[in-house]
Amino acid sequence: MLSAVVTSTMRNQVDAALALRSAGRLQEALDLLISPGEYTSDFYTVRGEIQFALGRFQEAAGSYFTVVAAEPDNTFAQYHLAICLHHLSRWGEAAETFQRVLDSDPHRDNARLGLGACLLHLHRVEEALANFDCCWSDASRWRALFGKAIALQLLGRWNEAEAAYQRLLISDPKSEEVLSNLIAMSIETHDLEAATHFSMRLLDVSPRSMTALRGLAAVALERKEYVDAVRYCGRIVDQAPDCVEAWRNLRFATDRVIALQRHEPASTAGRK
Amino acid sequence: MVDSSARLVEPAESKTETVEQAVPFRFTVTWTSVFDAFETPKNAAAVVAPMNDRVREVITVPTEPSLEPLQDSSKGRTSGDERGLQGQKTISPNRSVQWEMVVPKMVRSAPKSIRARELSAPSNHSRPALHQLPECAESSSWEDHSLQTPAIAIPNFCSLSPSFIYRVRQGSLAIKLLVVATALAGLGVSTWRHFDSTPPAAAEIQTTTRSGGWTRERVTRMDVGFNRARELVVYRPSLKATDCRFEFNWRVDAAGVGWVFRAKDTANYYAMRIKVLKPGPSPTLSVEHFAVYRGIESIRAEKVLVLSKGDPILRIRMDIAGPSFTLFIGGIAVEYWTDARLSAGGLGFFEEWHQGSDVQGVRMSFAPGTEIQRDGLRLFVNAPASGGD
Repeated sequence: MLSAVVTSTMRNQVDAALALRSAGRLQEALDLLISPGEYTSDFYTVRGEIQFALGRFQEAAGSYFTVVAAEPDNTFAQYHLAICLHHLSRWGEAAETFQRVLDSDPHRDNARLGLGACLLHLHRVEEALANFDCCWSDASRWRALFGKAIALQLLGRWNEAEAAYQRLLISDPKSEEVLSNLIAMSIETHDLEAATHFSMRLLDVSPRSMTALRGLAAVALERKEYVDAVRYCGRIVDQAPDCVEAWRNLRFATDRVIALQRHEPASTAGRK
Repeated sequence: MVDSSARLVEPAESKTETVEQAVPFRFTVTWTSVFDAFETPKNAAAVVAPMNDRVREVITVPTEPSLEPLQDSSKGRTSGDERGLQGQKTISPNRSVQWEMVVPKMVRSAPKSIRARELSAPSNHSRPALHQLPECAESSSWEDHSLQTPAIAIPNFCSLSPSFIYRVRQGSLAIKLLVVATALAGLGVSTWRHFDSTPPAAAEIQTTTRSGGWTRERVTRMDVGFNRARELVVYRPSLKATDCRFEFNWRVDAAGVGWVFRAKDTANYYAMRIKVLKPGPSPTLSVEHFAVYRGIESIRAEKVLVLSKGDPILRIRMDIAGPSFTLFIGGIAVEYWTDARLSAGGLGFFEEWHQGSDVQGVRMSFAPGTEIQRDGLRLFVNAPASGGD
């Protein structure tokens, strides 16, 4: 009898919290869910959702963990626990939790993508690549291919990575992250033409992109085009005054330009 | 986040080796986009924004208002008087939409004898309304007068009600169907389709498909390496449907049930799916919905429902009104959302990994003005008599 009363009270608590949450009053909703009399999954699940919505990932993880501890088969709670752990940058635990979700629902691509991302953080790149390959749904298509491209890039499989990135760009020609990664890869492989090309594309999409400006500045320095280097480094330090490399390269390129200007009149006079 | 999802890339060996040499810039490899699917706090807050009439994320659904028997559901006009969730506004469908009791008007009529035979064909699932005189008996159109005899029942509503057992099990690519009775009126559309669970001959399926029945389409994907695991089973006559209601009984099973609406083609449709997370006396269900638009599938919105009673069969109802979609389970509104990208399209089901569902008593009701294509005919659902026409 007492148990029934307690359960009913908790049900009312949850209902009231849900109503407040629907009204956008998240903190008040959470305040209603402070202390349960006894365990009910609804109570902790709703509390976890509200805590997550408020950005309290640590607390949300605690709420979902309670549900998972009581109901290990609760995939919903497992999945959201994994997301919280990911937000907390606890990659190892997040990966394990995503894996448990996949053990019970192997077709859940969101969990697979989460696991893949965690594996990249854990430098388990081969595993991440295999994981992204297992994604199957339309919803995950782009992101799985992106994860695969990252993994290939990190493995040094440049040609395959570039092919994957090019496919991504066909779907989304303005993806800043894809273009940024292509710039990084081009610099790493010393492909200056590609670095210039992707930097210009990125600048078209995002005129203040630091990656694009760095790419162009690096190429200009490499090609000893110091006037361009001064221009790009100047734009970088305008936007990021704390960028030490840009300041140093700006000074270096400026010195070279001045030296060249001094040298030119002298050589001209010599010819005369 | 960018920094955390990043790996530093060292540039190739610099050739600018001087005493005062340039410093290599640092580039990072990032993968934040891999995680776009995950809800950020901002997004999560938006989910519960005050604008919402939407239902809560986790709810309990009493199944006390037991499943509407098919006969009852056909009798009753779906008046939108279903009990809403506590604290939730009643979903009010578009006022201009009349779900039933409207007179369909046909562009090209079938011969009277055929119509009469079809109309008088016995059907266990015949709806009483079929045999009532239309409310718009004073209609002046010749089609109306030609059928105003007691011997010929004139449908006075526009529901298209294919009742069938849709049973496809793993590994089976054929829909097993048997048409038990079809009633098609010159002035009205009232159809009960019966698909038996016994395996039909392939020719029957072809015939049915050609005559405007259910069509199965494999969702194609462009990318190599992705499994082709989804198929749409769409009721072709409904392909131009706009506002409508979609109802069926689902025998609860582990495979879950998925359905589509506003399905324009295999690259543009809305979809919902219900899965059983935890069976038992108070089963826990997962309800998710997503859109496929221009071939790109959206993020799936998911929520959990806890039923107060483990009913073996659930009556699912989907109200599709303009950009607003409402899901009812057992007469209770459990999900509501809006999406304005697709304005018209067919109704049907989808399967993934060839896992079919046990679905029965499918019923569709269309709003006035809807064009229904059946058996080579273009039928238009008109406004109710009181509303003109």
